[in-house]
Amino acid sequence: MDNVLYDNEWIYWVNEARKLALNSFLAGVEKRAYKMALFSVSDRDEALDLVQEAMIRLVKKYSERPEDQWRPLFYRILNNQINDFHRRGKVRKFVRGLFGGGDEELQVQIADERDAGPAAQLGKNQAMSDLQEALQTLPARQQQAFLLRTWEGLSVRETAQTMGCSEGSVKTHTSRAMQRLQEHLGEHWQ
Amino acid sequence: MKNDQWQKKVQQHLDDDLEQLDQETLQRLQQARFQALDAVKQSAWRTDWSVGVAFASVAVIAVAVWLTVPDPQLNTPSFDDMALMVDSQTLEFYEDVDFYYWLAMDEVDDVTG
Repeated sequence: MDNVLYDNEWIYWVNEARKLALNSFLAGVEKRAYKMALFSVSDRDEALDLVQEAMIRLVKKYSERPEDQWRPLFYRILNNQINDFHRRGKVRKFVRGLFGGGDEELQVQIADERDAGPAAQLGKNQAMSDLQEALQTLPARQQQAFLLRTWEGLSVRETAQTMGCSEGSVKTHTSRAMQRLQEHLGEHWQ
Repeated sequence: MKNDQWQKKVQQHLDDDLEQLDQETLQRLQQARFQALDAVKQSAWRTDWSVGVAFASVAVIAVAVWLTVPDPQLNTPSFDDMALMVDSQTLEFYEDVDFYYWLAMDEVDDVTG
């Protein structure tokens, strides 16, 4: 019986250690993940829901994987959630079209969480606003590849695992994204 | 290199933008994280009498199985089963098959646009 008690305590502390590590990991990625989702879906509540769902799936299904796999796994789950969201949107549009819903574009509100601030801050906000607008013009795969490589800092291999595509595709998507962004933002963007 | 500097500028803007997230959003993200962490499995075994009952039940079932006439076919794993047992990567795949199916559907959609 003593062995059972000892094993229980050990299992408890192993789980507590895992929870601490997961908390640290999720706290480190949650803000960037939220912004990535927001760039793609342009709806604050939807972006928050997608991030929460990705967190829950990671913890439920993959928390016992090695820690160095959590980052690509988490973003893989999140990207698939985002792709599902867009697919559902296409279905809704199609159904609306069937029932004579018309061609009106969905009005998309981008959450602006920045304060007005002094002139320098306004300039910076304008640059960020331009960047945000440019990112949202990118096709989904280019946007994903660019943000995962450039902002999240995933390697080509990790990005390929995250996106479920080849490393060559990652390089192509990233390169095209950069080209489009630079064209959209222009030479004087700061 | 020009591209590297431009990328660094993009990173800087995106990082600075994170600092501007409002309090409500930060709180909701924190809430989401805590809810996710609640899902960490607690796999500690109960220390009360139910453990003894569980062991006894398993022992009874094991004896019952041992006393029945075994099916010769069951004693010999099929070639497929053996391959599955030997190849841990394949086993991992089967454990995650719904995840890989989801990803495969995603790739099909990409190809078909």
